[in-house]
Amino acid sequence: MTKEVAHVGDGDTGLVEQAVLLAVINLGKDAYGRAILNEVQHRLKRDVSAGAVYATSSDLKARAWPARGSRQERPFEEAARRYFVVTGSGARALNNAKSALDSVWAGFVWPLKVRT
Amino acid sequence: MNDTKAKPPAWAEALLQCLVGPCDRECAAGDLLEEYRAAREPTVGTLRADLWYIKQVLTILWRLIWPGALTLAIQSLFFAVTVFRPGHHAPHRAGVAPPTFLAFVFQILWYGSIVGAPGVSLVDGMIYFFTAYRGVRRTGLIRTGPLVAAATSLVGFGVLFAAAATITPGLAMATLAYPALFLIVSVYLAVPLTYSAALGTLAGIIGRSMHVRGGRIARSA
Repeated sequence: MTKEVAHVGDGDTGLVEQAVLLAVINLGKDAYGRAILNEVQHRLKRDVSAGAVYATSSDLKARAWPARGSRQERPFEEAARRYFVVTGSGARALNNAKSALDSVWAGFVWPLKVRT
Repeated sequence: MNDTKAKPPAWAEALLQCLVGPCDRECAAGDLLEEYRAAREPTVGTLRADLWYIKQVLTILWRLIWPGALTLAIQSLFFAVTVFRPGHHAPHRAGVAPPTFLAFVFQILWYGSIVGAPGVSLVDGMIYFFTAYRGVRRTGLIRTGPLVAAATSLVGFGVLFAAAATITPGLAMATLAYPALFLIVSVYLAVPLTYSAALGTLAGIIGRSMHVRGGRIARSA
């Protein structure tokens, strides 16, 4: 069994992009398309379309440097799986996104209680 | 348990191959097929699994066309509101001097049509062309161009028809009741579809040559 690995880069990260990157990190060596889609749905607690995930993956790959390797064959399927890892710059982008969110929420307690 | 013989609709699989980039083409199809066989078809049955697969492919298509489709939809709404509002009648032109050349150009550019059909103005053409070009640059396939452009046109026409039917419900009912009207509406759909497919093909050829040229530059760098 062999695998091709594509690296996922950094940049401005929206919510779905963050979910995709975190899904890749959480899945580790099992981070391929279908598993990422299911993990993103689990994290966002809602149905996420393949279009949102593949569009995000495509945008992230545009800033990536695909590593040479070979593909892992799927059981029962014809097409090979493509695995992803998050690069250092991708991790920095996630840290920046978390830091920005923490900065915005500084001084507030979650969940908010607003008097009406 | 995987049913290795279960397959989603062939046309949906073929459509997916036209909508994703070269690196994703094999993997996206494999991922969706694996989910279809392993999780969807065994639990919800073939029909609902097929609908799920079609929905995933359409969301990928929407990601390619949404800027142009949204622009065209807003334009179609504006057109429907101005043309189909109750009490609106086309002005009687007997004895009126023909429009000047500038007025004619403005009419074409603003939402006039070269021919008397919606969805074939120069503005519409630009929307089809750039939407198709954007799609082809992503996938590297010429056939993505006409596909994406025609889908954009279909969205615009759908919004126009839905808006017209909402403003003038009798029009929608008449279309279904009278075959001649249905034929006319079909022609009004076929004209922009053909126009958009032609522009999409042109965008596809240009986009594909840029895609290939970009790859050569990247390899030589």
